Amino acid sequence: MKIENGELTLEPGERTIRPDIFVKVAGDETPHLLARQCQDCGDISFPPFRYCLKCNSEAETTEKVLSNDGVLASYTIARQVMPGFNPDYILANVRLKDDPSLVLVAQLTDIKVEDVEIDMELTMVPKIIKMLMNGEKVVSYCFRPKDPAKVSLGEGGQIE
Amino acid sequence: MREVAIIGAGMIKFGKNPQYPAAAMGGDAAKAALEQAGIKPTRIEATFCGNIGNPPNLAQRVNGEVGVTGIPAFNHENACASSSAAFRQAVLSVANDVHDYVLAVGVENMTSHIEMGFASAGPLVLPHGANIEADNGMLMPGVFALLGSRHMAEFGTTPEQFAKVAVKNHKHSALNPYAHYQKVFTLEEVLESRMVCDPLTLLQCCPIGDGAAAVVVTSAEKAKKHTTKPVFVAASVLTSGLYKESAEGPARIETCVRAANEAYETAGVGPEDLNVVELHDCFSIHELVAYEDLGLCPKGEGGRFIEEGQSGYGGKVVVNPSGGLLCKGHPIGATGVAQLVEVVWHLQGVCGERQVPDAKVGLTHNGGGFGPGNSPGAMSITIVKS
Repeated sequence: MKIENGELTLEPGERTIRPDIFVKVAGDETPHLLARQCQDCGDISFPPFRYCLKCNSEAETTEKVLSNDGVLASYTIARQVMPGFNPDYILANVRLKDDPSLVLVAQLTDIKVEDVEIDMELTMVPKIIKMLMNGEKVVSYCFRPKDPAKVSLGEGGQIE
Repeated sequence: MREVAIIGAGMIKFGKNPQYPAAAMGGDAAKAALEQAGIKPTRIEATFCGNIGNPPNLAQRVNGEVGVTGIPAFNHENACASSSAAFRQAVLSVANDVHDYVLAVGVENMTSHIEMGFASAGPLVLPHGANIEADNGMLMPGVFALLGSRHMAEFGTTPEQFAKVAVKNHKHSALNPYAHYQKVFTLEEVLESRMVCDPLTLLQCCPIGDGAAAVVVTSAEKAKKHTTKPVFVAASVLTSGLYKESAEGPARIETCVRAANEAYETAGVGPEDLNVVELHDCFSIHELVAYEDLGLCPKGEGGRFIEEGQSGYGGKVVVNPSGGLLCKGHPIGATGVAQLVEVVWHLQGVCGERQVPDAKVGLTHNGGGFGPGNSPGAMSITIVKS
């Protein structure tokens, strides 16, 4: 996996957790998550839903690029994990800035457990989170501290 | 609609029995329920079966084990609330005069999958590719650990308070011959067992196991011909999650609050009227949060409720006298009906040493899975009265 000028490029044997979830945003070094937004009530869904589940509008939702910023709502350390994951990753609920009713389940990365605090500011970064039984590596959205002083590169239990 | 009653309840001892076929387990539970009801299997007009991971057409196979053929047979999957869904359909079929006598059965053999070399229950509960959160590293204990961690941050709840739920349920299970585990543990033993997902330790997580339970459902009027102790179904609510609702407001499961309110209104009772509750304690944290969501105590006071012993014998309401999912076990498809069997037995007054005194009103709370997205999938609340 390479990230250059905000573009994510996969190496052979790698895939993203779902197709087409990362997009390049001009002028930003990090790719962004691609969500969908209701044209009637403004609700944002990620993973993206074709129809708004909040107001049940009949109109299809449209693409919405997320800001990638959020705050930590809750976390735990996953000591016993599914095959393919490294144990002891920090599993988190991240409340997104774009829509505070949108809480993602994601791993924290580049952070030491002792530095984790509820309500801390976070930002999204893609990482390889697991290796499937067929040897494929899976790239997914993780979150790291927004404050560079709290970033500890390589910590967090992801595969790379 | 007709008033509906339960006239027979039966279950098998829960445990690890990889070579006990699901159909035979369900058949043995159904036989026990039919014997308690005192009716012949051929009186059954339809069978509703909850299961998630065993062979298709399990309702038909269960019928075969008790000598019944040629009747409508329905198979329900709703994750951990599968047999609550089956029970609700059984109730509706009687309430709406479609049938007079029906069977609701819950069955699950989980350990047969392990015997075949598959990873415990993981693929059963959160299949790869089905749920992006699970693919991203979410685990069942993780779901409730995240809820607990938030509850701790908002209300100052402590790991010890969560652990006390497990201590209580293990104590209760010691008197239940049907429980998978019947062993008492101290608070220290619970807290010092292996950490699974902080703050959840191993003894605060339900086991993988096998089991089956069944009830015979009929109309309230017909019930009086068969038993002097019919148990009436005052409310049977099954609902699904509203997108994002649980993410807003304090730490809670909104689907539970909504289902419970509907059930109380339908039954014409409130949480203060309950004598016995079988509640979905898949992990200790879920029980403590459900005290609040079911209205047994105010929001944020679940920690104090367990601390004061309000959910044990001698408290306000006995929660999980069976030992709950934590100790009686949680064979997924069996759980909903097994909870009902326990509550029905208390209302019938046949629970021996673990009998809740003067039990007249009982409630079961059974949650199941996810969807759409990561919203709670199913929530079933049933209220029964003697």
